[in-house]
Amino acid sequence: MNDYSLYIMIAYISAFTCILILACFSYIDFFISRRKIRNMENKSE
Amino acid sequence: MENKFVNPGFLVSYMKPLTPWFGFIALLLVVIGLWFSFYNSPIDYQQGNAVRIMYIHVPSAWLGMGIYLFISISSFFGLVYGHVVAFSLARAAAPIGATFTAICLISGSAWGKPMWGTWWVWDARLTSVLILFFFYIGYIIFSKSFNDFSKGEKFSSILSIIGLLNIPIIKFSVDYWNTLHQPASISKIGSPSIHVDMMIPLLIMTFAFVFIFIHLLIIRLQIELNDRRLNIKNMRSYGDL
Repeated sequence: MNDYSLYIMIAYISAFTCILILACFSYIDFFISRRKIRNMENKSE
Repeated sequence: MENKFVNPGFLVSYMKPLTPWFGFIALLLVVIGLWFSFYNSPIDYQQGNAVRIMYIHVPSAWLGMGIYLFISISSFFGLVYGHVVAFSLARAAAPIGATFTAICLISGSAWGKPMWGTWWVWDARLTSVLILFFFYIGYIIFSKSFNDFSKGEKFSSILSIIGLLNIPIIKFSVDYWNTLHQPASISKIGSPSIHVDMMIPLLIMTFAFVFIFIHLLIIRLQIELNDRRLNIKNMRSYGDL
C-alpha cells in the first residue's frame, strides 16, 4: 500500500528547513545590526 | 494626539519582552500541531495519508496571502502618513511572507505529485501563487536597491499595493477557472466541508505559524530600525543628507 510517506516527508522537512533558515538568518542579522549600532554609539561618545 | 506606537523606540521597548514568549508559544503549538497531524487525525478516504500535507500547505498559503495584505496596508499607511514604523513593519514582514509562500509552493508540489501525477501545472491557482512569490521577491529587491531608504520604500510600497490585485485572483481563481486545484473547502462562506478531526490540527498549525510570524516580525523589525539608524548616519557622513 502506498502511504505517500516520501511526499509527506518532502513537505514537512522542506517547510521546517525553510523556517529554520529564515530564523537563523534573522537572528544573525539581528546580532550584526545590534553590534553595528553599539559600535556607532561608542564612536560618537 | 499622536499614537505612541508609531514611535519606534516605544514600540520596540514594548514588544521586546514579549518576543521569547511568542517564540515559546510557537514552538509549543508546532509540537502539539505535529502530534495531531501525524497521530491524531484521520486519513482521507480518497487521498489516504497524503492529506497530512494539508496541515502544512494550507496554513502557509493563508500566511503567505495574509502577510502580503499586511505589507500592503503598512505600505499604504507609510506612503500616506510617512510613518517610519509602517515602512519598517512592511520591510520586516516581506522575507517571512516570501518564506511562507515558498513553503506553500513546495508543499503544494509534494501534494500534487501523488494526487495529480505531476509536481507542477500552470493552472490559475498555482500560477497566481507563484506570481505572489515573485511580488515578494520584487518587493525585497526594490526596498534594498537604493542607498536612500526613503526612495526604496516609496518604490517597493507602490509595487506592494499593485500586487494587492493578485490576492482576490488567488482567492477566486478556483471558482472562475477550471483548475486541478480543489475549490475552497475550509474558508467557504457558510459551513466548512472539512471534518472537525481534521480542522483541529489545521487550526493548531495555523496558530503556530502565526506565532512564528509574530516572533520573527519583532526580531526583523529591530533589524530594520537599526539599519535605518545606520543608513541615516552613513548618509550624513557622506554628505547626502
